[in-house]
Amino acid sequence: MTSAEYNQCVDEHADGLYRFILKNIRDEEEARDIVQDSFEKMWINVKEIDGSKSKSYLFTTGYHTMISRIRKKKYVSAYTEVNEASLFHTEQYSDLKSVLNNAINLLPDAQRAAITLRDYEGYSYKEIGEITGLNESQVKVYIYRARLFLKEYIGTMERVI
Amino acid sequence: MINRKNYEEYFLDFHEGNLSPSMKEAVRIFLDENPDLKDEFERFSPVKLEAETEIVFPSLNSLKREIITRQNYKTWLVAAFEGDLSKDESAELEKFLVANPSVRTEEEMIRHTRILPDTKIIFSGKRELKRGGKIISIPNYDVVRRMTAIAASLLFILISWYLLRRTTEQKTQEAERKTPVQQITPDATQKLANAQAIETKPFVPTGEKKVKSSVRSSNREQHLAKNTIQHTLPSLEVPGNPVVAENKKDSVLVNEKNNPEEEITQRREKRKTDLKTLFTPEDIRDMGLTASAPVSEPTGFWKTMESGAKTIEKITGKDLVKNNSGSLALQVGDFSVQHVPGN
Repeated sequence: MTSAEYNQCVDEHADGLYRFILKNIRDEEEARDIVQDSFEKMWINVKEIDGSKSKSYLFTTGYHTMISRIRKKKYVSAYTEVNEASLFHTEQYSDLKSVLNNAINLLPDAQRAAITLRDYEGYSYKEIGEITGLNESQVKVYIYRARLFLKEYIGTMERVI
Repeated sequence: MINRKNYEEYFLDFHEGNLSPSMKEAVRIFLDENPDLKDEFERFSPVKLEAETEIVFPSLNSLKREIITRQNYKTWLVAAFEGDLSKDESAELEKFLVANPSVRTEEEMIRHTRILPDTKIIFSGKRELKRGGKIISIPNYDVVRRMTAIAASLLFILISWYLLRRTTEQKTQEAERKTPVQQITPDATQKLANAQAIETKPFVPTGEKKVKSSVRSSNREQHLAKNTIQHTLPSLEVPGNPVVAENKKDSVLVNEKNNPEEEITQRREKRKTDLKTLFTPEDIRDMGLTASAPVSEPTGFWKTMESGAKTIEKITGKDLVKNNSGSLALQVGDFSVQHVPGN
């Protein structure tokens, strides 16, 4: 990977990585740090990275940095289980987007990471598996569960509204 | 070949049809020769069990993956949304939806679960992330970080040492400036002894500044001047200005405070002697009287002289007089140093 390719990677993927991290960690400063760390690591290994796989390398690095920080700060205790109680609340939402955003925040970390990589970046199950270190079947299961949770949440909100 | 030891294997294979025609013929010949084994041969006839067709698996359909049911249709809906269904599977789902129109609503809701990125959110620090120049291969991040830390530490130590050394030197120089010179070189002593000789004979100055010196002294004055010069000589920085030597008698008079200050000044003026006529610049430096830059601030120079004078006073136990009206002068016994402004 050349320095020109690295800089192109900054232009093309810094925003995407930042959105992905921010959506999952919900802390702007922390998200900025993680993006900076990820690019720093990429630059250190720039000669070893295949330019065509720069995005995958970047998101993999960013994801693992994020998970490491989440575990350190114990943002979320349960990593894979949905809190069913979160389905019942009295908040009011103006539109579907707000409902969905709230629902995403209630997802377990692994499901949220998988579905955001899928929807934000259009990654395949296999690519998400490579980034997250999960196998393809696990990724598929997490995405399916996340979709169903979001569907149920939206349905609940529609009834409330 | 079949015999009475291995006939059982041949009998079994015969009934299961595993023997060739020639082997079957061999078995028949063997039975003719051994008629006592015919009953046993008949018992090897295969036994066939009939299947109990009335026994069936209770939930056969649940095992069929391709079947969409009321229990699993949601997964099928998600799979369809994710594009994971084949053509046949999609057609199967469509049949299910036709048969169950209420599920259409759920299908629509699943479509709403797609999360779209907020493009207004951008990473503002892209410029700082960009790199330029030549790429230098760095094998290990930790090693680089440690080396950087070590380099930074060394730099810090170096700067600290330099600053500390500089401060110490400044303090030392300042202390030296304030401390009187305790030793005087033999050569300078000789020169100063020559200065004593001035008192016994008139000094004939050379150059533009010719000062007439009339010498008058007593034994006591000589003794005082000698002791003073031998013990102390203030370390003075005398910028390259004329340095004037005076007769020791004035100092004695001042020390003893027998005469008014005006009288002292008058006498001193009469006996002004340019030190330049007595000492070379090297000699002056040897005595701690360094000729360097011109004095711009007489006050600083005077303070230095004053410091030296105080030291002399301390050692000799005599009071010295300072004259800074128009000129700067330090009197030590029969010897004085004077700064003449403007020269």
